[in-house]
Amino acid sequence: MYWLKHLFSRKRLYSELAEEMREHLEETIGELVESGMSREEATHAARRKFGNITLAEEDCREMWRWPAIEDSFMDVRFGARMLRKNPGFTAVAVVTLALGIAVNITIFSAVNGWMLRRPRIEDPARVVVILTSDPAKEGWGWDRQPVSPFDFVAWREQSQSFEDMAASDRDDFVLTGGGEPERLSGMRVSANYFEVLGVSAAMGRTFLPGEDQPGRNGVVILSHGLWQRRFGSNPAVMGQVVRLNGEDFTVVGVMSNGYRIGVYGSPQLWTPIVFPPESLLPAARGNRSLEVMARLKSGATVDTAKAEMAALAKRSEQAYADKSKGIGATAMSIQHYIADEFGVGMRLQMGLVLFVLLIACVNVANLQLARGAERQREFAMRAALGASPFRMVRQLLVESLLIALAGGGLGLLLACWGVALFRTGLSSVGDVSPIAREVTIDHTVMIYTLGISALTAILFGLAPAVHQAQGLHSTLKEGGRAISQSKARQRTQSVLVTAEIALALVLVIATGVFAQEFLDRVHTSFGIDANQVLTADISLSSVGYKDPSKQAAFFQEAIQHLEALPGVTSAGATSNLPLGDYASTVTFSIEGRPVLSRTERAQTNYFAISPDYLRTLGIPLIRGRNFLSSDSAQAPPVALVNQELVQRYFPNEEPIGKRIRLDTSGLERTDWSEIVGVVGNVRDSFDQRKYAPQAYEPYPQKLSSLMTLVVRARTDPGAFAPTFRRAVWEVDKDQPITAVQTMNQVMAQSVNVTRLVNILIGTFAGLGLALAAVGVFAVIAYTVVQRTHEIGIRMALGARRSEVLRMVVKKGIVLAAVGGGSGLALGIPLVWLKLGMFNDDLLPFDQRGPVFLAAVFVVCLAALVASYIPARRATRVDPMVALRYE
Amino acid sequence: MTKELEQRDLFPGALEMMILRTLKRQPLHGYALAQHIKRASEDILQIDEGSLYPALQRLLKEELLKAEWGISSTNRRVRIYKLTAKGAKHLELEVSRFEKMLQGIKRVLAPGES
Repeated sequence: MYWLKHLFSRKRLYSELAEEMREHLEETIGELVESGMSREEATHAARRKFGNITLAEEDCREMWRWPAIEDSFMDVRFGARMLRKNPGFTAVAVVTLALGIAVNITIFSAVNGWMLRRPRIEDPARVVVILTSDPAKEGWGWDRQPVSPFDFVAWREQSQSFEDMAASDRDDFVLTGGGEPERLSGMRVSANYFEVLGVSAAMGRTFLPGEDQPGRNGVVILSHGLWQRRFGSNPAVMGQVVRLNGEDFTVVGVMSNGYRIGVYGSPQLWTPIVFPPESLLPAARGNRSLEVMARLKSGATVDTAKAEMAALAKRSEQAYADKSKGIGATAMSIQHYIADEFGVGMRLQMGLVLFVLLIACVNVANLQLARGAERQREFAMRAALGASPFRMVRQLLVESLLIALAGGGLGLLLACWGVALFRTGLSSVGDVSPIAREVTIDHTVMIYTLGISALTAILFGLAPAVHQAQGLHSTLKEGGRAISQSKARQRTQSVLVTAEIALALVLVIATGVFAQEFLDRVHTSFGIDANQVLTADISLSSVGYKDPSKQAAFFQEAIQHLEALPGVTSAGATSNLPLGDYASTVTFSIEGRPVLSRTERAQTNYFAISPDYLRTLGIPLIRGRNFLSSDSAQAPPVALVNQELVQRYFPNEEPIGKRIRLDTSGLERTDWSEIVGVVGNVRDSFDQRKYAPQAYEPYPQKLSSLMTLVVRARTDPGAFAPTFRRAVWEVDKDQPITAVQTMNQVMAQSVNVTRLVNILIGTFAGLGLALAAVGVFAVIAYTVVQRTHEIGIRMALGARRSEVLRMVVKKGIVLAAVGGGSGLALGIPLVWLKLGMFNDDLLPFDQRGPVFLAAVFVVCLAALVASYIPARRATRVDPMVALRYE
Repeated sequence: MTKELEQRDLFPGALEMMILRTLKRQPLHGYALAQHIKRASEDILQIDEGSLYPALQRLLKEELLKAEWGISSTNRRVRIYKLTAKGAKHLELEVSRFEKMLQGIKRVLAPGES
């Protein structure tokens, strides 16, 4: 490391060298003088003997240098000086890149936080998720189905690839005592769950073997958030008893802050899972609800696990043919599984921001080209002085790198702001708010920033640099206006701008298509009258309501209390609220039609409702009768269906009087329900435009412990909330009431995710369009400057201003037309082919025409405006000035 | 580039070898070193004194030599070069290599045997 030390103390070294040589000469001179020479003669002789002093000194210095690095230092110093000398160019280039890089960083920090970061479990590469596939399920996710308890128990025993297999199931819990009753989302897990994941509690312990046996399962682990919020971070909570669903649970542990797996995996507490005996019967095999994870044995791989699971599923299929036709099983590494949950949406966003970055790069490349023209002579001079083309390309690339790094730095700052905005946007969406805080700028994002900056430097720097180095020979000869060179340069610029317009058009088309879908969904009727409706969730999971008749009694009484309130027109209850967080889909059979296995049966959305529910939400009864209070648990079962179900399954028949059987539990029902009426269609999620079949049963006949109460008020439903709560608490003071919100709020929330996606895409497109417009502006403006001389001559010869204007704008039109054409050629197939991945319920392709036209119009308009401004400037050229212009 | 031209008068590494050999006997400063080499070669080898210094820097960098400021016999402030242990080893190696090479050349040049 001798040289390294000297790299920093070189000044001293060099002065010592000089002194040493001077002494050497002096000594020679001294000796020669002693031998009788005159001092002058001696000096000459000494110099002769010594040789070339400067050269020797230079050679000595060279010994201590590390040429490759030091030349680069020099390039950097020189590059920085050149950029400082041209602050306008530098600022525009840096800001342009910073914008492009910032949106990329923002989206990447989400991808990184959600898809790339290792889950916080031990050796995640060895953990797999066991999934079943069900060909009967439609659309995305048919091969991502959960596992039934029956299969879990069997596979856990039979499989050879795993150290152990663990199961979990989401469940809601009601926490009572010590404050307002509260509904919490929790997870029931097998006792080995945390051991399989290799996760330990931050405080206390996780579950012990055998704690998932009945009688021993009264233990609970709290999430850090719940412990903080509800128990004031008090460590004394350990060993305390809390009441969940009316039963006693002892707190044995608290998980660490931020522990979470997967997208929706942020439960607030964990308890052991106990499988009721009936869920372990082969008949319950269709009742798939468990998320199963397993840790691979040493020697086993994901592939061998996959093969084994497929074989096990095959074996089960043969053993229980009637219950499991076509159901397969597979294993997937947990990281892959998590990444997949985010997959399509995030890939779309990544693609869009990449387009923005490309546009930014093209812009800067154009600026570089324009500036290159001005620096032509500088480079010609350097070439004449012996610089190699390689060295000059390197010089230019170093300058590009400096710009890119500055852009990356500024982009990182902007991205901090972007990430904050993005997180705020996410937090407003109930479903995904827990994962918002995982969008952070960490060291991976920093490295990504560095990498993407370097990449952009090459993207926008290489072509202009090569251009510069190629055109050297002609420049000096031409002695000034390098016409032919600038022709080639302009051609490159035009190609780049065309590409830029095309890219921007693709972005605008994407925005247009998404906006079209969005607006269409907003304007499609929801099938309900949401105004003045208040809703609230009630979960009767506590022990006092084990008996179904008690649940029915509770709801009946609550609805009566609500209806009795002044200002209430009607009140009802439903097991599932359309557009709400929970949807229920069941399979069904029609009496008198061929008997099908469960996986082959048709599917319908399902609601268990009180008689007044339809009236409260304003869902019209088309034919037949509504449910009556006489449709009790003892009365013959009845059902209502919507028009869509009639259209699909009773196309030319009278449905009323027909009987259907809805598979509302894992076990086969024996009773048929008679269709007594047909009701209007209701959309059940914002993203679905088409109506789905829907079936209703009266809630006393098909009880659910989790119901949503709906109330139609005469006045503002929001102000009605406290009265609402009081009325329910009059029935049971320990009953938690959650999600109290107006129906309009429920609808607004279901729009949130889609709106966020639309805002993001719109932002990217706006940015891309603005950058592209700047690019067009820059190129036309540059052309005008280049042609000032020519324009001056034309005007001196009598050309009119309008002609000059037309001449310049024509170039803009040609660029816009070619760019628009290629943008359409690129954008239309992308929309056609790729959008289907995002949503399978889209407008037909032939309705896209107006969107494409509008997008082309917007982009061309932007291009025209951008070329008109410099064109106007061209018409103001004073012929005298122009002719003198050099 | 120029430095290689100068050394081509000898052969690459020759000057360094001579410097090492001279300094093995006693530490010297630049001027004295030049005089020593000239005298030892009985003025057969014509070396620019200046070319000594790049060679010295190279040897310093490779840590075959070390240098210290001192006072010469003529009472000048000079840098005195000294052989390091690594330098001594390097010299031995170079000398034996050189002798082998010389033998080879001699054999080829020896008359009458071809």
